Amino acid sequence: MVVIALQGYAAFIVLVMIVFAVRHWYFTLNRLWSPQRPYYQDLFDSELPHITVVVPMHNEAAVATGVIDALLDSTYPKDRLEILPFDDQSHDDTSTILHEYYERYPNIVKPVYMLGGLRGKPNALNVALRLATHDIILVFDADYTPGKDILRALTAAFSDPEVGAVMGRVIPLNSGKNFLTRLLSLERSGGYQVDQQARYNLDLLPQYGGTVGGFRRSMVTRIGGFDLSTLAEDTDLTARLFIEGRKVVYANGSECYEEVPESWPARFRQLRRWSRGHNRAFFNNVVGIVRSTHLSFFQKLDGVLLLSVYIIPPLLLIGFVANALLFFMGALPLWSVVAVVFFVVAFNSFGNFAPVYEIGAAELIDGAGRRLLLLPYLYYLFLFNSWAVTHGLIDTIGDLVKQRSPHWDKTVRFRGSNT
Amino acid sequence: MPCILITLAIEVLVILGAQPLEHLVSTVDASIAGAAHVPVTLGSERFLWLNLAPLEFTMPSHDYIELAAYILVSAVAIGIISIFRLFPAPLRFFVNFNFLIVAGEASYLLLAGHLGYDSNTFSTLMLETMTAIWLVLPLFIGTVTILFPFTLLASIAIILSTVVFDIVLAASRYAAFIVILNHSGPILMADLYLSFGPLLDVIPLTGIFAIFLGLLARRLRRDPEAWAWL
Amino acid sequence: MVAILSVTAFVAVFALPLVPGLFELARPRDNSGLPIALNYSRDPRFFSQSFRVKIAVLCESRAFGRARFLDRRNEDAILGKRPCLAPNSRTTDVQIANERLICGAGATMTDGYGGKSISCGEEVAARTLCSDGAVVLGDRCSVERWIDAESSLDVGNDCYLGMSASSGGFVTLGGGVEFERVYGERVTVRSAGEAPSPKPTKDAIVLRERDIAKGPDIIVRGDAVVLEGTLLDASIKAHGSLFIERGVRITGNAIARGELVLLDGGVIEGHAFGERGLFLGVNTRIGVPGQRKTAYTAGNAMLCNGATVHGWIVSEQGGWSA
Repeated sequence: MVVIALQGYAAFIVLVMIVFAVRHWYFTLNRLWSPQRPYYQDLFDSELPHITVVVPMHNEAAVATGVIDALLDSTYPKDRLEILPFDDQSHDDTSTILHEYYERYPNIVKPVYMLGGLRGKPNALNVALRLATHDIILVFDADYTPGKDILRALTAAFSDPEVGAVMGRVIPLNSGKNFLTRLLSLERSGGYQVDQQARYNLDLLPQYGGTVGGFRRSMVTRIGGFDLSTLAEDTDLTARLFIEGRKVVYANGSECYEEVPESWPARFRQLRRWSRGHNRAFFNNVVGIVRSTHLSFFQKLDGVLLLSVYIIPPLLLIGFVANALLFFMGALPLWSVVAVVFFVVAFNSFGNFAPVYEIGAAELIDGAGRRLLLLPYLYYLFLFNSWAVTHGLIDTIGDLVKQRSPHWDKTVRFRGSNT
Repeated sequence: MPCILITLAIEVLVILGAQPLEHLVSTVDASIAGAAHVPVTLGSERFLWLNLAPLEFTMPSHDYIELAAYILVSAVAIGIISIFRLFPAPLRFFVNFNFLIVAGEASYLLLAGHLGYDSNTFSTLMLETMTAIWLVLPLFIGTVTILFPFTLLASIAIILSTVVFDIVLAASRYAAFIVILNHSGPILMADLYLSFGPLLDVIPLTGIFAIFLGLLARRLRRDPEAWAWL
Repeated sequence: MVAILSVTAFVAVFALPLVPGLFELARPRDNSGLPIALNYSRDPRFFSQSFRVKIAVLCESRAFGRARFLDRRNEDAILGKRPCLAPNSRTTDVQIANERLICGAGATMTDGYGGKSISCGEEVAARTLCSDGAVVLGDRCSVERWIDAESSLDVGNDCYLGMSASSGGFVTLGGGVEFERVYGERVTVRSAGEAPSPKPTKDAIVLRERDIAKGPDIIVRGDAVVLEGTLLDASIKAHGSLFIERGVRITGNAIARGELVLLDGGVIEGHAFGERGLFLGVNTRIGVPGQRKTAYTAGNAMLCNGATVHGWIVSEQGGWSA
């Protein structure tokens, strides 16, 4: 009985891996060989809409000037631009810096000082929904460096009345820093250049990533604002917009630099937080996705797979335990081993990552050279990613059982720390 | 289309060559084991349409004190590695993972008295696994290769080199496992199979594929016209 | 000894394919982040603006005659006040005219710049043409790369305009003109060509009232037809093709995942976005005077006589005037 149950579980895991591997194989095929669906970046407009740019900040004195200067330096007409930097209970000089900008650009930079109450991005965004003057809200994290044209390019998506949110592409700035950043750079590349673009091409569910993107205030307000119970307000918003029949579009050409974690503990915490938030978004929205009358079968399937990506690694780890037990009992099914051997290449499909062939394709498109040789080293992250994500799932279950709201754990900034 | 034909052609080659290849691996590994003073006998097992020749070898057994010591040492090692963070996190997790399997196997041996596999069934499992992987490998690599604009020659080279590599890797691993188990006893059997066994094949195979992808990237950079397909 | 060797051999075989990656890790040669052009800003006249910067030094020197140009090996620049290319002549030199550049019928040239104007006779072939004044192209001229005029651009029948034609003023296209991107304060087709008459699919949803959308904008999940004479004070999107009948006026944007067809006399005051194709019928209009909008398609575009776009026409697979 135990053997049958364990073998059944192993079969389930193999099936899940096959589904993910096939899904991402098809994404890669689509990205490399199919006509690419156009984005709206060519919609040139002499009358650009008014926009609000929100920059959530918590102890960001080291990077605050960089992002605000970049936004002020953009080609977007200044009379149509409002910048709302949120000082979310900082203990450093962030508030002083923001005040200086307010004095210099009182009509554009309008800092919001959050002195108490809930801390974290979802709460700041909910406040932004109330304070923003304009319907289109773009969001940049404080450590990002937006280019001159990115505000226009992202805003162009809202020419489409069905679009509820837009997502640009993030590119690691510190990819050459160490072994970890090099691997993370590969992961990011596959996740955006192939995965997001293919989902956009195929009219599936591209994901709003919470930064280098934006949303329509009216639509977000209509669906109840940002959910404070999740740390992945971006995934949650993606799901809710699609459930309501709205679209999230992906702007592959709207690129922006970000900083990826340079230390293993920082990466572990980041993954754990993503997993915690993403899994909460799964529990909050999976039924809605399945029951939505606005989504096709394949969109629902993609939605469920998208929402469940951070649930699979723990299941996979349990699958390894099941295989070990079956081995001890002398009942390890050969099909399970062989299938796992091949479909373990799909392991990076879980989380917000990508399998090696998807990463290879993305790096080819991006003009990579010798960094492709690092592809096999991605398996070094296998247990690390799985364990961090498992921690996140345990946190989510704790949140659900204890009915608690998680506190925001900001990713450590490395800029200027070791250069 | 040509890539599909190449894949199928190599698949047929592997199907036709599986029997002699399997015997070759068993014979070579038996010789290596003999040279390492590990007495082995060639058995006979049926798998699909193939006659396998698993190597039966001797293993020392463990008494309960030894097993308890394995559990204790594993637990202490996991504790030390976790607390003092001796290696980067991914390596730490991998080392702990291996200690966990060893501790789990020792616990199972303590409770059940014996493992589900002896040297003969373990050898059969190893041979069946490697043969099954060889049989599926061309189809799998072909399916991934077809995604990229490799030339016909490169496609052949990728599929053939991965198959040949995996045959050599499987043969060398089988010999190494027999030698290790002959010295260690069954306590490392699960760890070797689950942690260093066929599941690891994907890493060097990806390495080979990455080398060809690197060459493709170089060609694409030299010849922008090659991007016409995109 | 053999035991150790056999284990070592396994490890060595396993590690062999990883060695090239180790070299890259030890001595990184490809570890920089993907370059982003942070200063890039989309400009429909990007080519010409950058060309003007490059020739500015030559123009200001007013030293007429032959000169080196941008370190090009096989091409010199010929500077003159009013140079004139003889009919059917062929030159590989870059022609830079401080005032007017005249190209006789059948002339073949590389790049040409006219400070005040450029006039080309019939069947002139050029790589690029750029003027700080007006440009007039005769019938059957072809521009391999791009053409730009600071004031007006007048294109004869059956011309080919390369990947970009732009103007700071008005653009007039004759019949049978082939283009990819055309930009101007106003782009108008003046032709006598016969235009096809597209028809909507049978299962298209006919929009009579605005009761199919939750919000002020209209979203149709399939093909859609906007009936003749409708005034739509909103944006509209169709997941399939969008067929807009005669005399319809849409004050917002019109977006179609399939083809976007705007029949005679129709007006879209916002952007027109037809993912698979774009058809602008007789006397149709995109945008409003004084503002610049875009008529975009990732497929082919067809513009009939009198079709006007205030701003930019982008046709990724090529467009034609009827």
